[in-house]
Amino acid sequence: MPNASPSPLTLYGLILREIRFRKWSFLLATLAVAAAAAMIFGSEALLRVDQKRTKDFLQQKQEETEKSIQMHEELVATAGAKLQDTVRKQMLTLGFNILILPKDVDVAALHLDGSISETMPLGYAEKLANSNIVTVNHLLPSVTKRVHWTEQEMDVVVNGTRGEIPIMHRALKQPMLDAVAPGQMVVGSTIQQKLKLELGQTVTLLGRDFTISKIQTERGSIDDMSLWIDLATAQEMLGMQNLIHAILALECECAGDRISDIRREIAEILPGTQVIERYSQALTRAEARSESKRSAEEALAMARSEGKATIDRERQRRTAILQQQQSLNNVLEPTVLVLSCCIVAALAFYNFRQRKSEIGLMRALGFGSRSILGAFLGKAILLGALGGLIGVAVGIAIIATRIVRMQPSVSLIEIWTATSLTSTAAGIPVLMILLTVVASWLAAFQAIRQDAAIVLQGE
Amino acid sequence: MLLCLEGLNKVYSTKSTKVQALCQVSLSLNEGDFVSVQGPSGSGKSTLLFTAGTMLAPDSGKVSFLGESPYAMPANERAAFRAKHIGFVFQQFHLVPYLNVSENVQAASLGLPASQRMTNSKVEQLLDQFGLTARSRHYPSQLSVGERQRCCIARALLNDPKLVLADEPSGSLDESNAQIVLQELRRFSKGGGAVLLVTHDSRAAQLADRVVHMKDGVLA
Repeated sequence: MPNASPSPLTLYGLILREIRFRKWSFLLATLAVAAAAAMIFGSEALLRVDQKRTKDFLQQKQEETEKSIQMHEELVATAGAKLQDTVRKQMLTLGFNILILPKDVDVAALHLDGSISETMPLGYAEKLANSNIVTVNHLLPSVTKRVHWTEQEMDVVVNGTRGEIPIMHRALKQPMLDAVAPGQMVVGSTIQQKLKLELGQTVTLLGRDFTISKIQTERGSIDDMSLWIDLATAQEMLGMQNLIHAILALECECAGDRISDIRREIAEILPGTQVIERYSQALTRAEARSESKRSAEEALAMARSEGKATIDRERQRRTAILQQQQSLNNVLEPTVLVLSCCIVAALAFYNFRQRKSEIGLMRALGFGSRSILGAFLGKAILLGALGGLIGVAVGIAIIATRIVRMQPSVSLIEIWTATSLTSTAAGIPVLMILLTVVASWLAAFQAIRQDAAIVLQGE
Repeated sequence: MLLCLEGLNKVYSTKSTKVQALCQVSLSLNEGDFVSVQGPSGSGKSTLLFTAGTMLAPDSGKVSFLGESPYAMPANERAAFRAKHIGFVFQQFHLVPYLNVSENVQAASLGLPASQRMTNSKVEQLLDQFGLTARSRHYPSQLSVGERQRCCIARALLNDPKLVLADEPSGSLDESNAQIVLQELRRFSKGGGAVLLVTHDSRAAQLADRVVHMKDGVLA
């Protein structure tokens, strides 16, 4: 045997030599600690991986829903633009019908009995026709007055009207309404029914004879009690030469919400007048368009709401699964820790029993309590660190296997970084060291308390 | 005076019995003394040894070592005091099974502060002195009983103690090994150290300067 120079012995060397000497019990303890560490790291890491997958999945769902809603929005916007364009075109065709009246006319009275008390010059119609107004296509000046039809003993509304006043700066268009020729009369349906009038029949109105050229269909308005005759005749009969009550403007080229523009333009040309909307077709169209828009928006809101509800349901479902997993971990981890602690404590106590005389000898050699405590707890620290590191390595292998199985496209490093597993991996050996120190404490305490003299004598 | 024991009493109590291990024991040792304590089993010899070795506090009486009262010291200080001044030799050797011969000898210095620990050359010198150089890397289980006891004495002498306490050091040894061990102890005392030897062995008594007898805890 070679005579080698002895290497200095330290307390740490003593611990290592003891571990090597009683390797099987140390290995058993290491396995217990490693199993606990692997289980804790594995369960914690898997929970985080699942949390991340859930987060990614929900984010992906959210993005898909938002994309889908955005596509819907674009479709609705395109359809809305087309609808608006269509409506605008329809508006160009249909136009607004507005009535230009003297400013002081009581509009309520007009609607009630069809009469208009105030007048304006006939020249206003020509003035408007000769202006550069672009919003009005057709102009029909008229007089309107409630009179007592003495020949028939009834009140009627007499309307004097004539053909369209051409708008001079534009090409002539097809007249919107036919003029009533002099000596002819158009009658409302109620009058026709009461008087049993017929087309071509001659009637006398305030001393003048008229031939009935047209009978209006029932309108359910004051028109049913109205008569239409030539404007000039009406002016003469009613003593309103060169005066008119109103100008009917047809086919205004504007969208439904531009009545204010028309008012402003006409007010500039014809001071002392007011403009009222005569028919509501355009408004109805505008409302229909608004309704379409609202329906589309409601459909979008519903799609958004359904998308959100789907994501919420998925989130709740996955959260419930994660909570179950967390609950399981909450039970599993302490159980494993306690179990591991018990195994380590039992092995440490067994180790103490094996080393009683050795500890007695240490006392005889002058080892203080601190050194004996150090010998036991130093071993516990090594055990915890080694078991913890092995456990974490096994845990990483478990995670890697699971990731490969579930998400082959994702690397372990990506998952590792995203789930902040470094701190867990570093923390678990520390936790295991704490566990083994706590578990070995009783044995170490027994070791420093034992009476060395008794033990050495007993041997 | 190196060691002075005065009026020591020690009683071991169990639930049903009381054993008076030491009864008014007084003994003193000077440097170079080789004292053998003889007596039947259970007479209190080992109790006297451990009490003198500052490991077992008496119920009453006074222990003085180099003018100091070790039992008045805090436990850790007393342990360091023991490591520095007292060496133990046991009948059962009490070698650490996972340390080789060299390490077992070195283990004695672990009780000392790092600055006071013995050098490797001291270990080598002791191994050479006890004929264990060739066995320095061997473990206790690979040694003969004589080699184990020599290793045990080498360990006891590593820190240059003032006192060696030996409990039946030759009890497990054959004639030649017993002679070697006792001669080594004798040599230590001649070198200025004190030896308190507890034994049944009459050969030890022949080497001792003084032989005292003990019976039922009383020193005669």
